[in-house]
Amino acid sequence: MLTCLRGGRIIDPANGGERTGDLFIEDDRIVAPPVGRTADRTYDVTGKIVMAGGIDIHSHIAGGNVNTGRLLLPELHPGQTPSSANLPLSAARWSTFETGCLYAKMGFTTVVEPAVSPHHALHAHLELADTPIIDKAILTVLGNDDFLLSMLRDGESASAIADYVGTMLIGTRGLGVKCINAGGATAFKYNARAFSLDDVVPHYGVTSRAIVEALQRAVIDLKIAHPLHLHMNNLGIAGNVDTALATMEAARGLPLHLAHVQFYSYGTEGKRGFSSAAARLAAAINAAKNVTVDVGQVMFGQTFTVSLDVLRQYNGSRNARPNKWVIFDGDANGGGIVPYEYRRSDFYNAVQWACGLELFLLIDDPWRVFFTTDHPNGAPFTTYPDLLALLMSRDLRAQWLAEMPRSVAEMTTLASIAREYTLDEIATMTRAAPAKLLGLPDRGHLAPGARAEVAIYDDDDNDRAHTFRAAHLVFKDGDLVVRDGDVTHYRAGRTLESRPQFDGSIERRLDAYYDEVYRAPRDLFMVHAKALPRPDLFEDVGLRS
Amino acid sequence: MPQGACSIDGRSVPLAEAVRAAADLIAASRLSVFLVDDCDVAGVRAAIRLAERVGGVIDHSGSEIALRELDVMRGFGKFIVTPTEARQRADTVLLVGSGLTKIWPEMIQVLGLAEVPRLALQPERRQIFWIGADGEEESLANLANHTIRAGSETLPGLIAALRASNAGRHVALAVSDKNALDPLAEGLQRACFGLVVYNPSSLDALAIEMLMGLVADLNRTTRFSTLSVGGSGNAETSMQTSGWMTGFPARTGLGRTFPEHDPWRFEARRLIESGEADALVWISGEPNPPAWTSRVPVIALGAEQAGAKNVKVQITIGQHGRDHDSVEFVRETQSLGFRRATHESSLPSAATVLDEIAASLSREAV
Repeated sequence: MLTCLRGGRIIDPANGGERTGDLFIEDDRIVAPPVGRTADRTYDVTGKIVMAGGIDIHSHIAGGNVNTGRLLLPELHPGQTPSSANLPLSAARWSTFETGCLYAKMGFTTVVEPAVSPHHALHAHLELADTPIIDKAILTVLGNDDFLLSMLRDGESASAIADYVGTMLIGTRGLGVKCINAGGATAFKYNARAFSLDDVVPHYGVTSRAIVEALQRAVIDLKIAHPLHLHMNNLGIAGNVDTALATMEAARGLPLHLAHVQFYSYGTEGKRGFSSAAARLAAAINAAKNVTVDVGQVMFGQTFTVSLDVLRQYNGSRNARPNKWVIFDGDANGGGIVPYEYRRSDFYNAVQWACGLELFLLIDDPWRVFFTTDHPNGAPFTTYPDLLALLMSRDLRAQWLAEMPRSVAEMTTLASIAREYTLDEIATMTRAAPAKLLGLPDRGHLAPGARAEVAIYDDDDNDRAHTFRAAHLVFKDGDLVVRDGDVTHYRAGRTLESRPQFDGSIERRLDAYYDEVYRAPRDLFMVHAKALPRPDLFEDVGLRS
Repeated sequence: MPQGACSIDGRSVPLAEAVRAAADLIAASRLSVFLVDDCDVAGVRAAIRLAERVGGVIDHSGSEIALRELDVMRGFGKFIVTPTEARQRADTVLLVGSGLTKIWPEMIQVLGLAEVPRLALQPERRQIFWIGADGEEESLANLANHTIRAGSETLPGLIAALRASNAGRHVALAVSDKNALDPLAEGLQRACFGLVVYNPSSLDALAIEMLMGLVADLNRTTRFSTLSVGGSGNAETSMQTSGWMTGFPARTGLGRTFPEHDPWRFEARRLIESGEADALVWISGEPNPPAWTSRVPVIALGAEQAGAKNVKVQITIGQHGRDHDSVEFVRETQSLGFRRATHESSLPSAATVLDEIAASLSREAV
């Protein structure tokens, strides 16, 4: 079926920027304007913004720890509105069904769950299978696992480590590799309460730096498109900008993605010993062309924090709001779930908010800074429209800042920053750049051949939050799934994976290891497509050429 | 669809007829309760989807224990460790309550209580303390270095005294009791990685919370975590699945089209005994439904039935993990795991039958 979106303001930074005109969809692909054919259906989108579907590279939407968050905090998500009959459980708040609908409604069509420990991969994929409409992927977390740490201790070769990483990625059906406080979760089991880049993991005698370097190398050697996705040490601590700077140096010019850098942009100035060092960090990121970052913006309100950085979560549990938490010493990383309310009136929270915006605004290249709140850690993803509005309006930022403690403006540079994001930069950061970073060449843009994932927004220059809160139309694989801000029906999204090549002899070794250490068949933990409701929804995105 | 024995009012029927009768019964009922006692993830998913369609209620017979544990978490907090991590690291183990190995017969082996922890910095045999022993479970008693007997009435006070003693507070105990407790408190503080194993069936929620408080206190200076021997593993399967699908654990009602969780309102037994519910879909490996279900017609999915009068429709299904592959909660890993069929058969799964019932409802609606 041929569909014409007529007369829209097409924002497509990967293909030359902005133009006004028609966009054609044939079945599930964007096509060139057909000659001598009439569209089967036409939507007049004159005056509206047309972008590719949004891509969120870092949002904790599924898995055992996220589910524990749901069960820990029933009081935060009581039902209020009825589900419509054709969208079962869409009104079940915090459910996977609601997640898919809310993302689609905002015009997002691909979301990456960035923190899945191998032994919870099956659980995560089951949840993703129940997350409708959007395409999904997981990042597989390594770096606190006994097998890898033992390999490093024993001085095994880079190729052996790559074999291990490759088989873990395939066994968990991951798109990429994530490392969370490398060695820190294991050190916490040995009672470490802080863990930095050059600290040594007890028992194994390897440093966090060595773990990161080994995983970074393995990801490169395996030709996985997405670079190592790193959650650094010392998250959330005053003065931790030094950790971020040292980690960037440790990357040695090789590709590295640093997650939620807002949480690493803190200095120690001022009477409270807590200040923004975002300007310093942004300058370093601008200079380090090998590095990409996502921000992990803080927005105000109730949320819960969920992380496989169990050391950090334990330390943070004393500030839980409301005061309850789960600390899980799981196989390898484990995790922690700690509820938290970011308050505008709280000096620390307000500085965090400002730090995130400074990073967005001071990092020059929208191809290297990614739009995240580290959902739900900095804020729920439902705050995206408000955050986009803040990036696009200096006046709006000034209004928000005026409502915060005065000392906040003194401890940050935010008030002095004039930059306002353009729609082209927004589309780069939320569409084109994520597709490039994840290795998804047919997404994030609107050239012929791209997937027909298109979001159309009302062009409300006075209220950008309104623009992005509820799309006018959203097409997923050519199927109109959102109309006037409402999801019309479910469809099954795909799960994206990467399948690197490696020496299969590692399999026998790992089977024996599982028999000995876990006393259970390794098969128990593997993600078999037939264990999922729809085994046919995986898509191999290919490797870096 | 392949089939096992099916019946309506004890009369053998083909599967399709049983499915249609089940759909009719559900369609005619004011409120159907789905008791997902022995289900894999696929079965629970199908039950929730069907319950959503008909405005039913989801519960599990293990909810009382599961919610007792969950109440501690959602009221206070929890430390949890996997059995593998515990086996490899715990140099100190505190066992709490009786009946541990009755509920979890493999516990000693899985936790390697007689072994040296592989990943401890100074691997030595574990120090094992036991409070709340009842004189049984000899194999466990033989492993314990220090045991304090206590029944369910005195155990909570003992846990409280231990927490107070650990915190350096005065404890109002008889000298002999205090003398028994002191070495235990000192032993816990010497741990590098300590493990508390408890039986939630022998403790109330407040006692479990006190235990978590003790563990929280210990974590200020050393590392400690806990492991529950649990109730039914399948209660956890339903809790996890219901968690992501509805946001809530079992005892959730879907009558208003959005989920509502209320442990009292949506308890299957109360709903049936009070007359609020008038049909039960019961998925279980047991041969007879509980006596309290006698007021309502039962659609039984599971093993062949022994012939209880109120079983209106019976559909024999395969056992997950035996007759067909399954995903279910695995106690040994504390996660959802994949179980290959050990004796693959053509018996339908709970999910298949529930989906057929849902499809039958759709056809009738059309």
